[in-house]
Amino acid sequence: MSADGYLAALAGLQLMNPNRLRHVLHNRTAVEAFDMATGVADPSPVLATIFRKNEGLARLWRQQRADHPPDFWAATCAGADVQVVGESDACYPAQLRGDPGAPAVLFVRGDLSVLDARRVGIIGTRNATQQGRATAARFGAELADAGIVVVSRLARGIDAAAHRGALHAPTGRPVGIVGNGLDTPYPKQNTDIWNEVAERGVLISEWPPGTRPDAFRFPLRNRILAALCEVLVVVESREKGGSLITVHEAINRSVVVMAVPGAVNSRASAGTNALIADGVQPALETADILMALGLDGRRAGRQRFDARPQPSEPQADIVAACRNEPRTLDSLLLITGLALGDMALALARLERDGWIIENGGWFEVVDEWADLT
Amino acid sequence: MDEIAEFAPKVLDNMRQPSEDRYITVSRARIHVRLPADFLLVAAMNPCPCGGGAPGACQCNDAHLQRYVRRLSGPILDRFDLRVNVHRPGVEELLSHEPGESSAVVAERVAEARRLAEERQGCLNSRLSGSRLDEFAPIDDAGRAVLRYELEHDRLSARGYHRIRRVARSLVDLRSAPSLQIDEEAIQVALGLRASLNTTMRVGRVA
Repeated sequence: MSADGYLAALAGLQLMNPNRLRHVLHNRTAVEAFDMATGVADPSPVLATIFRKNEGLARLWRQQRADHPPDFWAATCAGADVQVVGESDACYPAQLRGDPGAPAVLFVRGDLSVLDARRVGIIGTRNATQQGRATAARFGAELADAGIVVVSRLARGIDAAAHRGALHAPTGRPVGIVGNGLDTPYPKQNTDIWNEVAERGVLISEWPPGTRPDAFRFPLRNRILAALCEVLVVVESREKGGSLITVHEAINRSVVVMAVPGAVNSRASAGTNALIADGVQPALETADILMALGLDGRRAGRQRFDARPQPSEPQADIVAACRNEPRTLDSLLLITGLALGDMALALARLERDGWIIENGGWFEVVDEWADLT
Repeated sequence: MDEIAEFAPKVLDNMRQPSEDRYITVSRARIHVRLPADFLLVAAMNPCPCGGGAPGACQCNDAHLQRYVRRLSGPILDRFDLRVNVHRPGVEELLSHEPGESSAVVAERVAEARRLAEERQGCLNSRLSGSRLDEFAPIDDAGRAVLRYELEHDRLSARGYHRIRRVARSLVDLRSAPSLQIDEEAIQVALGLRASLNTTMRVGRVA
């Protein structure tokens, strides 16, 4: 049997983590590492210390060797169409080699060679505004159209919109970094993009098939994402959150970070606005991102023809009022001075023509990319 | 019912039958008693557990949100004639407060509209059956086209369709010169008074 089953079995041990995995595989073959972790061979001094500090761990891993031997893991991975890639394998991503947080084992669905192209990460909050999602979709599509590989996670909100955008371009081959096993799409509502990314680009996880989407695994994937990007664009982010962890990881790796500015009172833009205040470059258009990659920004124009009929009065006033921030019906009535009936008619027209959407009683302006979000 | 989403789903679903039939049957070992239960249900809830706010402000995770919203079944929600989003007033609105119409004035207008309905059809608009709606609340072509669009795009249920028509009837009755025919404006306002529950996921006016 090849090393795959042993690598997967190691990564699949309960309470295994990236540091422990790196240590046991350091200067050892997969078989040697597995024997050492599961009590067949003597533990290294470091591993012996780990075992001493974590009571029951040595016994647990010995038991797991019996319950789920390497050939079980080899069959599981093969059954889920998941490729196991160790650090010594030729196809292990060059960008991760030598990275301080490099995962010792990768689980892969799709084609790792897409990483040979120029790569831009697009990430952001799950609680995004409609405008944020549309911006992510536009960047994703226009970058993919320019031959750039879009790297993101697969969370809802900004991440999913970036992927949908990239997949919209016929040449799009996006990269998805996820925090659970590759056999089960998570979150469920993104199953379609999960499968399409695996088909056209590549899905990468450091956890074997069957690993549940536990909360602690999600921050860990951010370092892999940061290491795989040349430029990282944050579209919307709160004051705290996974996106800012990724920014931190990116800055440590000298990856160029860019942020999309938002309205000063928008919670979803608090983090990105703070980044820009700290000196991060703003990304207003796809051309800005291409420039950061050292490419000619003029190649990227708006790729979609805007077929929507231009709003006339009084609809145009409503669009203008909602342009900077989401508005409630009450505030729109106050701003425009329209009667309720006229307002209802105008809003219905604008919604039908694709200029605004209603979201929990808030009206937001959307652009021609809204249908991808 | 304040904080209606905090009530047990079973309790809420038990209100479906009396809200439609206007009586309730209480069954014990020997006797069944039918009691009148004609009531007006007014309920309030937050858009989500954290209270929501502008798009992007919600802090709830998916599971939380789903659990909260699911407590109100679709059929219960569908039975509310009016579902209105109420927002926290902004700073500007709080400071530049212009006094609105007094409730006494509005109540007078409402009484007048009710009198008009009784006079026209012998009952209130909420009691109009489907066939009588055709007679007393005919919709013009533009309004009909809007409703067709909403129905075809699954943004309106069959029950919602009749409710929208009754609400639109009342909206027209509240005007200074009510017509028999219901126009598109009334239909659009009525649709706007049928808010959906989901705040962070993009859902139209389903139900």
